[in-house]
Amino acid sequence: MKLLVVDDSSVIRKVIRAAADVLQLETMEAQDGVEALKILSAHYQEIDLVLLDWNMPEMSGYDVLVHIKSNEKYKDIPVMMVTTEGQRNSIVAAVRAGADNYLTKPFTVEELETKIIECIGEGSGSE
Amino acid sequence: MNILDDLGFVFADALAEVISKVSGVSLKNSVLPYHDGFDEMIGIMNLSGNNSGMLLITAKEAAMRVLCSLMIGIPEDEVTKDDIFDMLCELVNMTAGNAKLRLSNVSYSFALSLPFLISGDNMAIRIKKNEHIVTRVLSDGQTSLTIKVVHQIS
Repeated sequence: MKLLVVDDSSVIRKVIRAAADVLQLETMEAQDGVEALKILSAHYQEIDLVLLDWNMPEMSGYDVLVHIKSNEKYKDIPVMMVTTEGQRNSIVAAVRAGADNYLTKPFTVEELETKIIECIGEGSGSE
Repeated sequence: MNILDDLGFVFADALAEVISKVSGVSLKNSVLPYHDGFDEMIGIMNLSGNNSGMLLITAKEAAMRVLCSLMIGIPEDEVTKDDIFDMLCELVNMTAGNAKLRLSNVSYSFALSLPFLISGDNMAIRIKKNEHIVTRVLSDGQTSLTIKVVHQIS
């Protein structure tokens, strides 16, 4: 299974990649929303979960979420927001826009792994 | 409560929680003095909205290298300068988000923006007369970070 990790922080992408490795999941990475949509357009059939930061240059994670959930080709791909925006109104806005899960930064690796498993199911890694 | 008096503690507690969660390092409020020009890099975020101001976190490269190594899970000598710069910006981002959540129950609201970083020698932070600044130093005896919160007085 494959994750698309969208975050402008290379360190956060490395942390998520390490957690994905533990779960035997492949990753693709984008450093902003525009790049994420380009990757989705070319690889949407391979992607099983999108992990999406909110506060990014070029295009916010919220705008990317709205785009994904309004596109017939991508709308069924689960999206987990991974963001510093931990206030209730932000979470509600993301859920209303179609987010499937929500993880507030900072997170521990264990919290991240648990949330990923919640989204894609236990034992979903590559054999 | 006078929110301006407590603002420094709220942001410092937020930073301590962020550091603890991402690296396992437990930093406490310290009586270490802060000197302009001591640190080598400053992560900055403009805070806008009902309460405008600025969040700054200053650090030495060596301290950030330790924290970065622990966060990514790689040896210190494999941590790049880009990793260090990126992590300081991300610390600013996460600290601002955490503090925003802590302050929401006292109706002190602000919007986050994209963090940025400056680095160099002998850097000094100066503020205008209509701004209030609080400084807190966090340390575990080996690693220390300084957090500054600037609040614009209307």
